[in-house]
Amino acid sequence: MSIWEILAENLRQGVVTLRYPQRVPPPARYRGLVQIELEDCVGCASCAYVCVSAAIHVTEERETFCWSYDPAKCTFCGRCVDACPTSALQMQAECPPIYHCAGALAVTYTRAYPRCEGCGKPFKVATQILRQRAYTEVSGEVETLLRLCPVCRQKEAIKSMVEARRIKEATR
Amino acid sequence: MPSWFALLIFPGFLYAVPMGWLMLWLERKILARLQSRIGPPFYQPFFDFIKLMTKEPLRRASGEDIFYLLLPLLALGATVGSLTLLPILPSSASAVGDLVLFVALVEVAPICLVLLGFLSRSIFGQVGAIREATLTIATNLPFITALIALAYASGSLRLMEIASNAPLATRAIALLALLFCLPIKLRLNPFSVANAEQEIYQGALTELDGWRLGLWELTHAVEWVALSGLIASLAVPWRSGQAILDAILFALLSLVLVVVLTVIAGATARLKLLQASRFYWRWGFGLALLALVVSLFL
Repeated sequence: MSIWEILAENLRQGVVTLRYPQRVPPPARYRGLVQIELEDCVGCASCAYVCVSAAIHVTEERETFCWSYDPAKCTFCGRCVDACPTSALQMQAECPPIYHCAGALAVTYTRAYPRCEGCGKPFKVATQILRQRAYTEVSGEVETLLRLCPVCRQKEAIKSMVEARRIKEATR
Repeated sequence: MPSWFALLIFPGFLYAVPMGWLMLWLERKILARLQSRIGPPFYQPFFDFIKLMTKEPLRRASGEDIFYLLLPLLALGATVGSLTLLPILPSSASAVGDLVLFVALVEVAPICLVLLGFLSRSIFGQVGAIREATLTIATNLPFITALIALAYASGSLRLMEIASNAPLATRAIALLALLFCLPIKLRLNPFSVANAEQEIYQGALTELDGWRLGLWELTHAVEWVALSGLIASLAVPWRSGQAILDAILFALLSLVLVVVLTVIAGATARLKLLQASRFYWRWGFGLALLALVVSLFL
């Protein structure tokens, strides 16, 4: 094909540039905006730790934690998604919308820590997914213990040790 | 026709500046369409110019500042001056030897460009300046030889008499040789060696910024009008006698030349310096020499 044929073909074909809002559809496994499933998040801040462009921040209060994400800073590398132990983060398959000011797409979610069933204090709970990871099978006892805060869990542990010792001495 | 009219109105500033912008736009638009792109709207060169003129340029060493002002202004002035000599209207002021003056004035811009390149003290600017100088020499050989052939054939150094008297055979061959020279004088593909954007960052222009670059872009626009205008005004011996008609015919012919040059530029890739200068020494000069021989024997 000579250059003249190519030019003639280009002329015949017309303009191929897409004008906004037309867009080329994104490919499979496209990495778009990071989305969080707040129910699964435990507030561990692994995502903020691995984020190279500091687009994700996690701030902790006494009873709540805030997860904030600024797509204007995001490089869409996907490290946060890989690092999330509870698979609470996903990346959208569509292109991000077009926006005009830097912080337009920034989001902040606040979630209250679950409360301990023993003392009522807020604490970082191990969600279902973490439990599955940590224990091959989750017994009922583990299940109840994990609903307690670390302090209460310690107390429970000491109580059961004392109980065990008492039973041992009684049987001797 | 008074000379201030030629300098300020037609074919001077008032005609040349919008026409130059129109030519720059047409070049970009046609190139875009040949590549299936949209291309800029017609007022884009005007906006580019306004934007560049409002930008504050970088401060330079005190001795350089004045040259960065004077060289683009000199190039602009000389190129507009060369326009006033074009034999477009029958009443155009025509002096003896205006052909020589035209060649001299049209060469001022390339010389200024070479000086700007060396002034920049940038490696890219200097390489661009060397290339521009080499190619100016290579292209002026056929350019001036073709003009000599035309002058000899019509027996005059006046552009007006050349336009009306040159015999057809000489005129056709000489104008073809002149057309050969335009891509290099306007730094178009395949001879855009001196201002290669990708390899030497626009060459001699690399250190120009703000209104300095704006002035240079304006000069380039006027260069388009002057050089395409030379061929357009020499191509047709016929003049209607009515200024408006002649001016429109001239403008249309110039625009046709822009289309031809742009399509050639769109279809070719940049040559090397050696290939480009060899082309002009061999084929350009050969064609011009043929015109000279034809003018001697016919």
